[in-house]
Amino acid sequence: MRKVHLASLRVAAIAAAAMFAVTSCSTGGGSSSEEEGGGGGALPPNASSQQLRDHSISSTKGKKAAFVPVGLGTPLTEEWNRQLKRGFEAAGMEYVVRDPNWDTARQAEAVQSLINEKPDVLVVHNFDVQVLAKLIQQAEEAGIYVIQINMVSNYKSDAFVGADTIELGRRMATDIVKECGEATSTSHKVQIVQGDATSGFTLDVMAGAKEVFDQHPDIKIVSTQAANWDRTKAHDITATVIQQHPDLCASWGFWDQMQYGAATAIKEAGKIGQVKVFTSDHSAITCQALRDGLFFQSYGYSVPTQGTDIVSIAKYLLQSGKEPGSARIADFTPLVKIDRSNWDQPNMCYDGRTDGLTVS
Amino acid sequence: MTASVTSRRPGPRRPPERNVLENETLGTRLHYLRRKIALQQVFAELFEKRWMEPAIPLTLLVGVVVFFSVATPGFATPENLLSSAAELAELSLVCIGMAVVMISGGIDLSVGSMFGLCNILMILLITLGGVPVPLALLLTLFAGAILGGVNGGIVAYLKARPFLTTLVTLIVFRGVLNLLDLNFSAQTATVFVLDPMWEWLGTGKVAGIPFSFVTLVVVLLIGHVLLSRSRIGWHITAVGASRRAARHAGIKVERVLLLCYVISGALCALAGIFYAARLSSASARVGEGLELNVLTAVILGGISLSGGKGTVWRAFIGAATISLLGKGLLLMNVGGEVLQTALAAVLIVAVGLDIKWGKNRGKAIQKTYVNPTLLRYRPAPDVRRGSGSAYEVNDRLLGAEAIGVGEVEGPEDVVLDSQGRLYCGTRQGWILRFSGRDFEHKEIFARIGGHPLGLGFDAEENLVVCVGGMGLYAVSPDGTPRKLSDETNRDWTRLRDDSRLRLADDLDITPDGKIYFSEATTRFGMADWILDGIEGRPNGRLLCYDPATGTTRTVIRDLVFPNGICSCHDGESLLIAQTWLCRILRYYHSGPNKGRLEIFMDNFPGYLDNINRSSDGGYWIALNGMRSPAYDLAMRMPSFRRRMMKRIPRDEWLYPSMNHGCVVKVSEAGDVLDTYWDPGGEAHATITSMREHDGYLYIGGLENNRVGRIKLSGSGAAQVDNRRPQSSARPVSVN
Repeated sequence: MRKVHLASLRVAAIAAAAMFAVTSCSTGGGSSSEEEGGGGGALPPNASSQQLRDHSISSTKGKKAAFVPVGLGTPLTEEWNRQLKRGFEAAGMEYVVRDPNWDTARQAEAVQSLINEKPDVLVVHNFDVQVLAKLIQQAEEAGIYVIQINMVSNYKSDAFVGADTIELGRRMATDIVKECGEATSTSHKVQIVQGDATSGFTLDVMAGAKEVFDQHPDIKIVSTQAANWDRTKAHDITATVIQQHPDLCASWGFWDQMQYGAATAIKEAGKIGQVKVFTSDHSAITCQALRDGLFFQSYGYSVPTQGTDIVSIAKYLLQSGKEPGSARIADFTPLVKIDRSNWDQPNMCYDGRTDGLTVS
Repeated sequence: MTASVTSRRPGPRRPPERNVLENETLGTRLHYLRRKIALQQVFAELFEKRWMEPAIPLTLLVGVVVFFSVATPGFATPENLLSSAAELAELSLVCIGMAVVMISGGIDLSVGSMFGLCNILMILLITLGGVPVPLALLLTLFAGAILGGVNGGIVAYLKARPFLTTLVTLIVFRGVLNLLDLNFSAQTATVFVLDPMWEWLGTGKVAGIPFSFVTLVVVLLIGHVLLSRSRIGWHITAVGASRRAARHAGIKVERVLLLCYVISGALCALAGIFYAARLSSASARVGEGLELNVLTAVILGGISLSGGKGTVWRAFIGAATISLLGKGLLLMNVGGEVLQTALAAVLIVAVGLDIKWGKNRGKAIQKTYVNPTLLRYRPAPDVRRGSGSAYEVNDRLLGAEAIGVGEVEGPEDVVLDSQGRLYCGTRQGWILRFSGRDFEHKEIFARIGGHPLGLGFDAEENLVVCVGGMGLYAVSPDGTPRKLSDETNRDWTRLRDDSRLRLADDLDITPDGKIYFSEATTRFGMADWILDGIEGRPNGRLLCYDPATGTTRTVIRDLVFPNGICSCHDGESLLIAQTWLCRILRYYHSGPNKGRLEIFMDNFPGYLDNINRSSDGGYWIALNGMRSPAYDLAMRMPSFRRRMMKRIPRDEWLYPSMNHGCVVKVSEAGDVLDTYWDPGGEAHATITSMREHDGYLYIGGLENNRVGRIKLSGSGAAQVDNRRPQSSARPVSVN
């Protein structure tokens, strides 16, 4: 599914997802007549506008959507939460968020309790590829549409919305090779600061990076450690690495919030001019760090639109009348490179609080 | 003096359990009623219960369940409870491990790391290692035990402090876990294990209940038996309560400590296995901060941080409270930070309560245990010389011969056998026998224990003894003691279990061979019976032991300090002397008046002890102390006595006077015939018993160092066997 990377434009991605779903629907023959809740299945092509409207509204009104992030309180998860809340509530749906506060066991509990409550749509942000795998399967069997966000599980559900992490890994690695590869007069030493080692994000980015680095044996990965998305851990790991390798060329961390700690450690060591700090995500801290010369480069993945994409896909699933688990689609949001040259352009970074949209 | 009811109809109606004075108004009666109710007593007796210790955590648990059932719609559903059970099981297993360590006086902060490490180990074994599930299970359990063994070894044999040791191992184990995570987790992440047993471990159900919860129940039962019923369990508790005392008692302290930590490690492993099977998450985060939740749960359950106290159930109650609290807040969509804060608040409250409660519970019970009630007396008869009263002081005991001076301590009662040998109990728990012409030959007839009080011979010449603190015993003529009874039917209207006999006091044997005996009070023991006098409540009872069936039953309950028991000359009634009420009841146990209870005599000038028959058809009554106007007044003022107990030290309290008494002889009709005094109280101050035999009166005292004897003159010396009522068929033996 990951290879269905069609375009870097969001609209195209949604269109692709919709097409994929419609195609499978039509090839599925009679399966579309199976009604799911108030979904009502397919409308005839000549249905009136009123009928279309009724069908759409009745499919979503009074339904329930739930969101389980790994933990609220970060710009990333807050932004998703804000968009989801606005989108689902505007569609007349009930929306709840269960916050496990960075505790794997509690995340599993939260999903388990939601399976018991049977919402219509469940949005999960997987801690790692395993922890929710069985539960997502159970949720689908219980008739819940499950949409995964940004960090994928081993069990692929109805839809995945997030960065194309394999491609992200490839691009980032390519950029690093450009800055630290054999063509440069650097030490070619690169430090990698992972998130949780078993996180889908980490695994996929590493897979993409491996493809590139395997072709460039000149790049020396001097340290690959998991800072578990934690700024302090990233700081402490990097402070040690920079001592061991004062000639480090690049430090690559998988999340801006975490990597800010690594950048601080490098700055404290007085090496911020020499060591190039790479990261991904584009919350306000990225733009600040680029402005201050802490970060060298980041990849944004259109976080503010991911929430609305999820709402769109949820609406599609609810109206399609398909069985939960009958589709496996992915919506990869566009990757945008942000560096010291373009960070100050409008809407490069999000702050988790404001955007141009208003609640209807 | 007889105040018997005129109606001859035998009925259950009994005189009020207080001194009824003339012209009692409604107000007085209400006053009595108000003083009869003692909420403090209910409180004290409730909190004395051992099962009250986990009552507060249990109430909290019930409160949490009820609150969330009402406040959160999804909480009380079977699905939620079942899925909660699986999560609870893992937490509880770790909590039980922590509890065992804490009962042994230690603490195990490394539980979270051991849990996480065993989780990842189990996953590595079955994914990358390809080890069969049962073997992997055993290996992981073993690994858990080894981790615990590391803790235990350092704590027990290197004598390191548990807190620091396990704090260090927390970091070390977590470091190992991080290492494994970094190197192997990514590879495990994409492996799907399809072993059905593995599936079943995670999601299997026994009778609809998650397998992990069933395992928890089994562990709880085994843990309960092990901790409370087995030698090793008692050793663990002993080591936790006082390590030094345990060592002195010969317990191998090091081995016990090591075992506790090994148990903790193995239980963490078991929990980790279930977690692994349920979620297959080889994340380094697993178990992070778990030690805090576990500690909160265990302390909340009421397991003391100072060791030596706790059960597995309390650990479970604490775990369930924490787990359900978390679940409930989650279902209410409360944020994660709020949950942490709530847990922290609960921990603070729990630790605070643990300290306050543990420290002050005993004190609170002690302060509220004695509950004075209202008692009134008519003005006491004058006993002064020349007063002309029947109780007038005289010098009749001055010339009493002393038997066994300095050789006997506390002969509460004395009795003589058919050969004229004298028997008395002592505070050492012995029965002494004096024989010879002048009782110069002393021997220890039997060693029973407790404090032998009332004595009596049955038809087979067995000496029946009421032993304070033990119950009713019989000593055969060759000196072998055996227990007749130490329990009766329990009074279910009382909170305190009163089935055990605490203070069997005096006895007498009726012609049909039944042994009637009094239990002076069920609330106080031999050491503090005098507190019953400050309280003045009906705490005693009349019991009957039937040798034919070997059973004891309560005949009359709620009596104010029944002391002396004497079978009347008619053979169908008993006299019951009530110390604090200064009156004597007559109870008909058979005959036409069967079941009738009436007042035989009242308003004595002193506090009554034993009663015995005299040879001329009357009765001897021992007064162990004299009433005083001050104490009579104090008995009318319960709140004064309560204040006294709260405000001033115990040795300055006003007690019933127990330092001077006399012997009173009364007729069958209840008229005072004679008194016998030792005015200076030099030889016989407190008199608790007297026994007429062969023209002599033998005198005993609970605090005395001798048995006294005086020769009776005149009609009092008629040679009648006074040990048994006249209706007895036993032949009279005269020495």
